[in-house]
Amino acid sequence: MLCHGPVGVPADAATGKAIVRCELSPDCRFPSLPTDLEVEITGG
Amino acid sequence: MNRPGLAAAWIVGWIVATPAGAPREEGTKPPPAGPIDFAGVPRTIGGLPELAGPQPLYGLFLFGRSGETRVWAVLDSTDAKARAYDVLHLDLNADGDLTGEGERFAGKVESARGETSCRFTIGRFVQPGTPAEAPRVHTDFSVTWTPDRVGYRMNWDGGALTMGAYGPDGETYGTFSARPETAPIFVPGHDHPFQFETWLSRSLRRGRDNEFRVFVGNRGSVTGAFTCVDDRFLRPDEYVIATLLYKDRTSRERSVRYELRERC
Repeated sequence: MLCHGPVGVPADAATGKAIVRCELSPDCRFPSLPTDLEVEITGG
Repeated sequence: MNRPGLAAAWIVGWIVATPAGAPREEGTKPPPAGPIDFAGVPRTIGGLPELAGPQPLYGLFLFGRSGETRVWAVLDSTDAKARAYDVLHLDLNADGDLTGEGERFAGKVESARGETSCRFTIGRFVQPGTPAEAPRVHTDFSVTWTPDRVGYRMNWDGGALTMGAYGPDGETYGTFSARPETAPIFVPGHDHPFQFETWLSRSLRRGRDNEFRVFVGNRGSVTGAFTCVDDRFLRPDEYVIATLLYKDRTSRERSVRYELRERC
């Protein structure tokens, strides 16, 4: 199962490693541990 | 999987912006560690049956709040010439001894589109360590071997699905290991605070929207050992918050928050 949606990378972002920190919405019935997911920003 | 070193680099205050909002300062902390210390999980197996194949494969399932209940799974073959791993030894009572009665499962071998697979049907699985007067029972437990991966699924407490093993792309989906010491550890179920894993989303292009996809579930001991819920688990009003933490071209730390509300 996947949750998905658009993540916009601003035009002023430097290329290279970045992080997407994920957690469940505040009203979710289930708790979550924020998780840092490593990503690579590339040139547009 | 936590990356303390990397996370520490992001502790300082961030410039936070929503897609429609102006930047604002916000302090962030690195995420906490996961609920289970995988490095501390014992890798001993108390007893193995006589194995017939040339190379058994090992995997380990953890149950319980801190992963205290260990259920070893060992894949074997009926003989050295078998074309598939078609025997599964599963430590149903978590006593570390896989020679117990009813702990050997014969799989159903199939071939489709040139690929051989073998599915083991365990079915009803009473979680070891739960009270005899009120046992936790998971249903429709199955394990599937293919040459490239090992998958599993069960209906947790007889209800919603929990399944694995997944990674950031199809090439990283988990398989078992040739040695217990390196066996991947899987954490089925819905008991722990959920964590996340990317799927085909590790590269983001600057200056545009990128479709970002994550699994929701439990991290395992290695990449490719993620266990996830299915697409009906969360209600439509429940979603994932994804905060992009990045540096701008002047090396200033910034973040942008998004909501992942779609499912598939």
